Amino acid sequence: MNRIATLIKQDLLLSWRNGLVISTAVLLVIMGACIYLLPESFDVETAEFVYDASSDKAYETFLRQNGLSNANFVESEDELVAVLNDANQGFGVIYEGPVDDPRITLLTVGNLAEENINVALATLDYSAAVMQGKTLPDQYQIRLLRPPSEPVPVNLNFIPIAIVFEVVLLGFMFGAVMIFEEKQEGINRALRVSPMSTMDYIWSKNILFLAMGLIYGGVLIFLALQFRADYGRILLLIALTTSMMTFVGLGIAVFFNNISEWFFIGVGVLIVFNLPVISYALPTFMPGWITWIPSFPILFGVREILFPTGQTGFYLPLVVQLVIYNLIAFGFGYLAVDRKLMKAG
Amino acid sequence: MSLIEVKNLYHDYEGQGEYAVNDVSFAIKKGEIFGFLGPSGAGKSTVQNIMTGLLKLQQGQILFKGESVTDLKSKFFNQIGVSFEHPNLYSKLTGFENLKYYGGLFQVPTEDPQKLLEMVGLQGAMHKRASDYSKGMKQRLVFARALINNPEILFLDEPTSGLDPNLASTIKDIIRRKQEEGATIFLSTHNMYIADELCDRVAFINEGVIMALDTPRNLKLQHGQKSVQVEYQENGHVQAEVFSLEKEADRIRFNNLVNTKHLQTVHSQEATLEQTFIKVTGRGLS
Repeated sequence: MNRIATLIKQDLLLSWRNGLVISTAVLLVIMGACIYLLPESFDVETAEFVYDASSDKAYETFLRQNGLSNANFVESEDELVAVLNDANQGFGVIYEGPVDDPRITLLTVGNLAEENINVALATLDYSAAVMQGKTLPDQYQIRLLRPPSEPVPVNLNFIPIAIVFEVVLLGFMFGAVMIFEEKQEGINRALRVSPMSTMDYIWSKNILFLAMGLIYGGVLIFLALQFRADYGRILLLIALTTSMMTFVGLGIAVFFNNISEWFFIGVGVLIVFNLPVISYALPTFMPGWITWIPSFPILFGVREILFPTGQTGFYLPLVVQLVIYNLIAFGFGYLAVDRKLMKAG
Repeated sequence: MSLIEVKNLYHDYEGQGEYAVNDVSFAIKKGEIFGFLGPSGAGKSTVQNIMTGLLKLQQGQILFKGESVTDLKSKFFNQIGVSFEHPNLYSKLTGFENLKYYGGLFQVPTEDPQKLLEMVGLQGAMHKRASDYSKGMKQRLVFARALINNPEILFLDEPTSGLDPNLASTIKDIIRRKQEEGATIFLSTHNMYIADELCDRVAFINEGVIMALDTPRNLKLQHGQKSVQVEYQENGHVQAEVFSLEKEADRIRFNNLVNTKHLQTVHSQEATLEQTFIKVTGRGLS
């Protein structure tokens, strides 16, 4: 234990002097700044204008009764086109003809999503039917299986990504950087003729990066959510992720002599581990293979803990999965470090 | 009893049957300075690396106090100190930190880093980073690091390489002092002077084979000439002659010269260790 403590102190000092601690702190400051500088939501104003060209202005009357104000109405088609052209994004409605046989035209400007246009068309159909006195059957109903969750504020939505991928980077890359420096300096030969064991070597680095990962993650979560987060569960996930990536990072790095040789393999692994970000940003993109990447369940697990949607029963299987990954990563890391670093001629 | 014994050691780097070390055997007594003398590539570093566990033991035996070093592991490493020819240090740590953290790896009482740095003349640079050290300073720091655990056996690979004569003399004094304190020293070098000066016994290694093993004095006597070279003044010119001490006629002529001429220099002609090495191995040390 004394040897591991010595190695941790030494690695901490080297991390500081190599700028690894500073770069982690700078990243933390940037992420913290994002929390306070980004808005909680991006409100894109969608302009809505109506020109009722009918003689009795029945549609305008109907809409006024349902909450629209003077600002939503124009007096001519030319005026409607003009106000829409002035807006970045929006739609306009031209209502013509009698109530029992109306002609409705929808005008759009900007990048309106198809879903929004469909909703607008459905609303127009519905309002026309209501004006005609038709009673629509209750064909659709909504049942909530669990209470609706609060939408995640925009400025906090990136927090799971910032946590998981910085922790992945920390364990995977920083360990490699330290190994390359030691190889360059030939220090391993001196370590190998000391009583230090492979286990001491691996665990000292692991514990250091684990501590850095926990501090980074803990502080970032505190900046984002203060006391509203379940720190125990989230920190356990961070610890298991950092540990796994440190073992993998050390195990891969020993096969290379410097960062140039390591670059393509190392960056390749990092890119693969970052792919689940695509599914996080675009939930419709979730092919089966992406869910097999170990960072996938971690990323969504972290999000569920930080911003619960009511899912239950996911945590324990995730922890068990990560413990298994850690055992495999440790076996790989230990054998690689022992054979390639500690016993190589 | 021998402190360390090497028995029938072989090493083949490529596994092609070309041995870098070929049936090497020797034993080092406790408190002895044992020199391993040979040119670059002769196999001396290979032997030292196998003895210290840096290279895998392929064939043969290395016994430390009668036990195989492969079974001793950390017990063995707690009792050895290794100084490398090429300095290998944490360049971003200071001299003091390099020693302090390295000392923390041992389970035996360790020396005060400051004291060691003073011993090798680095007290003024102890808080400088190793990257700012000159080659000679790094060499001394590596040497000091080898002493941190008060080792029973010191493996020194070219410990005075790159040092000026004053510093080399300091290192030699420390080696002698360590011997007086009871340490055993295994010294790999191609420097015949340091070997001659320090070693109780030396082994000549060439192409992986030990060619001779004895005290430097015996080796020189066995392979040198028993003769005297004399320079004297005659008719305004300096004359030089060599007299064999084993030939009666030469001895009479030499005595005659001593009694009748004005001698300027007299040199005994025993071989240097380097000449002995060349004679034994057929090649030079450099």
